[in-house]
Amino acid sequence: MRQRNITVKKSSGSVTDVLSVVICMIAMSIIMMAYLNSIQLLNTKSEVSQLARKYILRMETVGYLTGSDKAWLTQELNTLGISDPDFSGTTMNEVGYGSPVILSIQGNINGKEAIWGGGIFAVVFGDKSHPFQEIRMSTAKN
Amino acid sequence: MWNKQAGKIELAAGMFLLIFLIVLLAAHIQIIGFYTTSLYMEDALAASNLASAIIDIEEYGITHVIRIASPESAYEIYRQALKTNLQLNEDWENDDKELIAGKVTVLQYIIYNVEGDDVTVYHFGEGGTYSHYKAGSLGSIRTPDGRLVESTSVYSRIGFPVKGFLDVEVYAEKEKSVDIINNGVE
Repeated sequence: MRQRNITVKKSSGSVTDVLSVVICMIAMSIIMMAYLNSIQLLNTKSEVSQLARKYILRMETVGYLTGSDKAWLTQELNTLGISDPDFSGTTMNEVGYGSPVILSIQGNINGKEAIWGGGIFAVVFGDKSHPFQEIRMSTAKN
Repeated sequence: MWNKQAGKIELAAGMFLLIFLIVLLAAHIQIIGFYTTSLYMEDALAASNLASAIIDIEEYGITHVIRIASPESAYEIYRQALKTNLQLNEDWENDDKELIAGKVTVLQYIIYNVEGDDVTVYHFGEGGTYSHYKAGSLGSIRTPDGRLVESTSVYSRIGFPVKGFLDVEVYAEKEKSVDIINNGVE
């Protein structure tokens, strides 16, 4: 059987051959991180709304936000990453049947923001606070 | 004489994928934004309906009948509670216009007062038009969103514009009925 010698010639490569792929991968990574951050912020705000709903129903039956409920609510907000929530405007003293009860929660939701650090490739994600206010009004059924 | 150079298909493919990913994720974020808005409006409606359900406790103490004593004041309480729960200004608009892009309108507010087997309906329409009538016997009346009236209930429907992708404005409606005995639990 006749053997054939096959000579493989390597052509010279260049970084520009993969540059476009690398740029696309970096861009996709940045977009995905920004997307995930947006989803996380929406989820956190949604959970704060659910907490407000739960505690306004409790306030309906009692007539105000009790001290223990306030402590529990603060703890649950801290678990969501909201530190030092402000309850100004919340009904803290008992009211009679049919009187309005208000729950007001103000705070900051911590997220990430893309920061251009200089140059095409210098992108970092820095911390950013997003202020929010959640207000619920109902009437006391105590 | 023209010399053709070798092309780079990966550049075009990469740009296509990038743009496709951006559009896909932007659309997904918009969908989640609409879903969050829907939940937020539903919560606000349920809370406002329950806030307006002020029963006559003296009558309840005597006859154990649970009915909303004054439909007119219940409607006013509902409007005030809705305005607070949606953080609307005096023009019934949201100041930041991020979720609700324009004026919120109360399209319907209906009270179903149940006394024994009788159901009396108090209906407030758009602009506050009012009517009341005996609707029939218990077990045969349903709210406009399909819920069977089993005890005194409140139904409401609101309309509002929502701003979507590329600032396209869409008019949306949201309705909610609550049974004041079950406290809105379905």
